[in-house]
Amino acid sequence: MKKLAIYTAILLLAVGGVGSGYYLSQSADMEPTDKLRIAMSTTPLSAPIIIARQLEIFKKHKIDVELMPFRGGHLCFEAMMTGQADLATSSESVVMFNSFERQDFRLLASFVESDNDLKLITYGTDEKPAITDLNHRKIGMVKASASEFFVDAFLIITGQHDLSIEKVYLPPQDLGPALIAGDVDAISVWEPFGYQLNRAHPDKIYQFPSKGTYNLSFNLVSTKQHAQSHYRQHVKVLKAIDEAQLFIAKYPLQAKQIISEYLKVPLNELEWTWSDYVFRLSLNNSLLSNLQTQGRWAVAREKTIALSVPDFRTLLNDKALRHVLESSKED
Amino acid sequence: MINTRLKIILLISLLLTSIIIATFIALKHLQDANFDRLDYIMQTENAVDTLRSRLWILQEFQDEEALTQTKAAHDILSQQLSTHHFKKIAITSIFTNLIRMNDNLGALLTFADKGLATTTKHGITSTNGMLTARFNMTLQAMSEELTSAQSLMIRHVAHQQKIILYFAICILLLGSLALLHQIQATLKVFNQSLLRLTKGILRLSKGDLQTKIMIQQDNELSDVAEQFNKMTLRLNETTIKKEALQFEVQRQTQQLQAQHEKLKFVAEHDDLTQLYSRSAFERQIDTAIARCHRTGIHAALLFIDLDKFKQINDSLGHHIGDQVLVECAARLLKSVRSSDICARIGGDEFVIWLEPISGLLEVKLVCDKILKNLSQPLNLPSHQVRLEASIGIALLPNDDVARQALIKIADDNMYLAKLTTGNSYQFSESANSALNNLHFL
Repeated sequence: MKKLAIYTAILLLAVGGVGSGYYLSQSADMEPTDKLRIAMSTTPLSAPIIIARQLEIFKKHKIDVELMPFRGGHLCFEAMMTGQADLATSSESVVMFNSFERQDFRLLASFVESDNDLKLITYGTDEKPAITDLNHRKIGMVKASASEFFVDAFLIITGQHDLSIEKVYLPPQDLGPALIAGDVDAISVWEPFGYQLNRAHPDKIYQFPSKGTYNLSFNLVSTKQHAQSHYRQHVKVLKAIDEAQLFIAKYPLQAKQIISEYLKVPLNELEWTWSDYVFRLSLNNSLLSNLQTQGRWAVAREKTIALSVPDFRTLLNDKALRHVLESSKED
Repeated sequence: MINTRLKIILLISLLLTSIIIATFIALKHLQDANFDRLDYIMQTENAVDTLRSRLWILQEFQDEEALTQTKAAHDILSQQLSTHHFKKIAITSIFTNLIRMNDNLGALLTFADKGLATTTKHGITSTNGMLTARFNMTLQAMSEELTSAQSLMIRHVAHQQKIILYFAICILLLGSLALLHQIQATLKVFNQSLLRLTKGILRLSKGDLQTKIMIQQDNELSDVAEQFNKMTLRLNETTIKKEALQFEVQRQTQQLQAQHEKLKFVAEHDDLTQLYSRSAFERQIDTAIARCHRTGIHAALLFIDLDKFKQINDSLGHHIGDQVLVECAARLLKSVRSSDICARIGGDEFVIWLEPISGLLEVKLVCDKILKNLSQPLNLPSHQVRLEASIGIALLPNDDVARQALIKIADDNMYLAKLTTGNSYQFSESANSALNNLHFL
């Protein structure tokens, strides 16, 4: 009986130890909720952030996030740099263009990629146009954005970089109407504008096959100072995004439903692009390579007064991301 | 039941052993399966590396052969990617993305095919330069994805192993506790029961037939205890019967002894006077003569006959005659020593054996005492009787040494005494001639 009592005591101690550990680990999370503002582009690419907000995953990680919607990543970036928001969602093109102007911001993580988000679209042609048909034509695009790089990259890859085209810079929401109105002959535009044009004029819209030409990534960006001083909050935000991405992978239908309701985008429109998205947290050399490519292009095409590309490595701050990936390894 | 408990212990032990074996089998199976998956990822990495080297050659040489080789490497990678059989969502997503990237590479190769004719130019604004950048970017992403898949796979394996081990540890811990409890409980029951049995047997061995072994638990030893109790009870009953029997035998033996003594007494004594009968007297005399011979001591035989007893008997009746005889016997016994032998050998004839005697004077004194006591008046309810007696004396060894001869000499001397009126006694003439010289011849 004595021995049984000893073994029972050991078992109870073990259970007690585990319980205490669990309690302590729980109590470690019992810290005050932090507040953070994220300038978010109103595109399905922001899905993980929207899901984390709607499913209160941010709250679960003790962070109160206020989402500030903007039409495009460049506006989000601007809002973040002017202090309206703490974090911004921006494409790597926005990051690249801005990196020539300033070095006081940091990429915390890339959370989505798409290889088919940018489209080169023409309108009204009965026959399938050739790329050479764009010679001496006006192409609408958003200045210093992914859309401008995409057009150039596409023409270069297809061997048509010597074509004489006239670039017409317009806000993204004005590109579609300009194309329909005949103000431009083609537009380089991102989703969901491509879908909207296709839905409105299914027979008159032509999209050049451009798969593989360009990889768009959406990234979480903060100021340099914020990245240094708000490491803990950034870890929480990235953890919540990681959890939201797991939800998207497990329950894609529910995820699309939530995004559709939040962005007030029809489910069909969402379906159009959803399969092109790869939701995952990363900050690796492929993004660096993408930035380098676009940076070299910007210098070569004199999109900047700079004569060389900045050192993009200094703009990447993966400290918070590494912490999140390491802790997810332990789960 | 101890037997059942032992079976449970055996069962738990077998279960624990099975769990250990099953855990090892599961871990081995897991290891094999994961080795295959990791091998698959490595093969894919090799295919990506091959494609990378082919693309480098293509970018460097820009000829048909390089393009053909690149496309072949691309096809091999496509084939490799199409055969993935991962089930985990995270890894499946990675491979879906890899397939997408590989498709993009395919599209870029189509563009490269068309660009072969163009003048080779380097730099990002050239087709070759942009394609190289795109190829490198995509291959870099593919390598990163594969590393990520590998990492996920290893984590997944570690997680699975951890779950299996934790599960096995928990089960083994609980099983061991259950086993320990069973063993402790069995040992306790066994020891307690055995101790009680031992104590019970010890008490029985010391002769305590009332002992009982009480075992509360229902087990094999309690059955033994029950049988022991039954055995003790029967043993107790048997012992009681034996004792009762012995007591009865003893009682009956005593009864028989008493009856025997009574019968012997009746056989050896006169019914009326309770003195020795003639036959008993003769046996006693024989023993006494032998004793006298052996020890050399002297004895005397007195033959006493009541005078006028017939008259008393006739005139007063046999009933009174009997009372007279009884009183006469009592007075005779009163007159002699307790070691002397008195007997009634006829109607009013008595004999007395005096032993030892030291001389004639001692015999005479006894005779005088007898005659005096007999002469005392006898008060009967309606009469008073005064008795007189004649005594014939034979001396051993002076007169003879044989019983018959001594009796006859005494009888003869009694008749001689009868010749004298009233109380008298008579020795043999040889005795009379040496009255004071009694000795053995």
